[in-house]
Amino acid sequence: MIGIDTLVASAETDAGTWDETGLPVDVIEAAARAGVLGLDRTTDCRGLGLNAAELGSVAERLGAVCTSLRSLLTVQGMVNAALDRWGTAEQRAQWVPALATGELLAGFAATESGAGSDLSSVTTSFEAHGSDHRISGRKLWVTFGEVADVLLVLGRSQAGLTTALVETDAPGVSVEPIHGQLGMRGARIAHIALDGVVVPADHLIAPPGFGLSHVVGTALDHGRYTIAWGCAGMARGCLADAAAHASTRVQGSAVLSEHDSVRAIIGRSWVDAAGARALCERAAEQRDAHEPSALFTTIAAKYAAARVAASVSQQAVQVLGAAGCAPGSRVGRFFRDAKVMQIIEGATEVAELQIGDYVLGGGAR
Amino acid sequence: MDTANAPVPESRDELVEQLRQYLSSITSTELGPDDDYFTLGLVSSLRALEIVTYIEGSHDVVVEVEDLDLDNFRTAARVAGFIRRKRGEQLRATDGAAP
Repeated sequence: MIGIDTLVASAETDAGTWDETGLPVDVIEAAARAGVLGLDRTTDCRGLGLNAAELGSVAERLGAVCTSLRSLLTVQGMVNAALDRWGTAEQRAQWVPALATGELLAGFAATESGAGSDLSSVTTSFEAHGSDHRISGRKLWVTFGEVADVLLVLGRSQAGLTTALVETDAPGVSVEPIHGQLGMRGARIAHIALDGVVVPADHLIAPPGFGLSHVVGTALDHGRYTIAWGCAGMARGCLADAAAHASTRVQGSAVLSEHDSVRAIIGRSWVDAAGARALCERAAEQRDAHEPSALFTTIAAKYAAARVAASVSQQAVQVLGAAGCAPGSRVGRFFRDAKVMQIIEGATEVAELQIGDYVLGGGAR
Repeated sequence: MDTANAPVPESRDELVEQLRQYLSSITSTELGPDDDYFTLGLVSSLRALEIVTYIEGSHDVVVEVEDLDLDNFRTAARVAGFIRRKRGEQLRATDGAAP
């Protein structure tokens, strides 16, 4: 994992700049060379063949230094997990290795203005066009949409919610890069309009009707898992910065850490971060054991880790004071990123309901 | 919805009963072996994916994209039939690979 060590080292120095400029193409290429885009795909599919625990560990390391870089891992991983799971043998052969190596970059195009937490409300239309399909709609907040070669698009056909791969060089695709959003500023996010884009029948993934529950469901599950670990890493990074600042910063005649209130913040943050990480580990174990409960434990891990990343980053900004608010502050960047993590791939409130239903259904242990 | 008195040949076997109990548990509803829990609106999209993982993990079959047909999954008896067919296919595939 020398490539990943190098990537983490460059993110430690450059992530603040990437937050302003967007993740540069050469960094995306370095991530691809390091295997970050196909960590848990099999070696037959030109991935690294990592298990869930190992995948989580890489997401945590990247998350501790740069949310946008970790988001690259997340989006490529989620699209490829869905294709590997629900593609036909021909589709898997065509797409999975190309995505695992980064020969192609993927975007996940599900959200619309009227369909965020409730993706079953998407209005993007799939219409028969001879043996092909014609797709029209407008997708929002596509992570790395500015540079993606291919999008996994959720829409609706007469037969129900349907997913297809759409190549971004197809006529009718227009990409509008977004700047200045709250967080994930380096993640080359774009809104993408699809205006009568024609895709061949072999680009449909899974039968119509299974697009949301199975294809998007598999992608979101994978996304939540790497986001959870990324947030655990973010919390750890914020805690380290807060502790380092508190141990060295002198105000008046006292080092910050001599104040009871500061030590209490550090203690509380450590416990929160360790608790979230323990849930991530539990999700890893269940995923590696292929337990059905892994779906729900992953939701719980993402929910807890995003919440802890938000609270620990907020406390870290407080401890760092002006330094936390300054341009280029890492904890300041994570404070903005962490709030976004409480919204994407299942907002906090939705996750609470899903976990509540699961507990009431007797599945939790 | 199944009628309670109709003959249901597979309904009393162990596999159907095991699946019926699992599906009743996750839907928090006492289901019969032929109750269509999709039509009854008892399954969220998340649960639909969980059912796939359960079938694979607990019954040693692989659900492939070609198997994505609601008719394979809509009742406990149908899931049992699906599992038996898949096991048969997997056995034949293994036999076919042997010298």
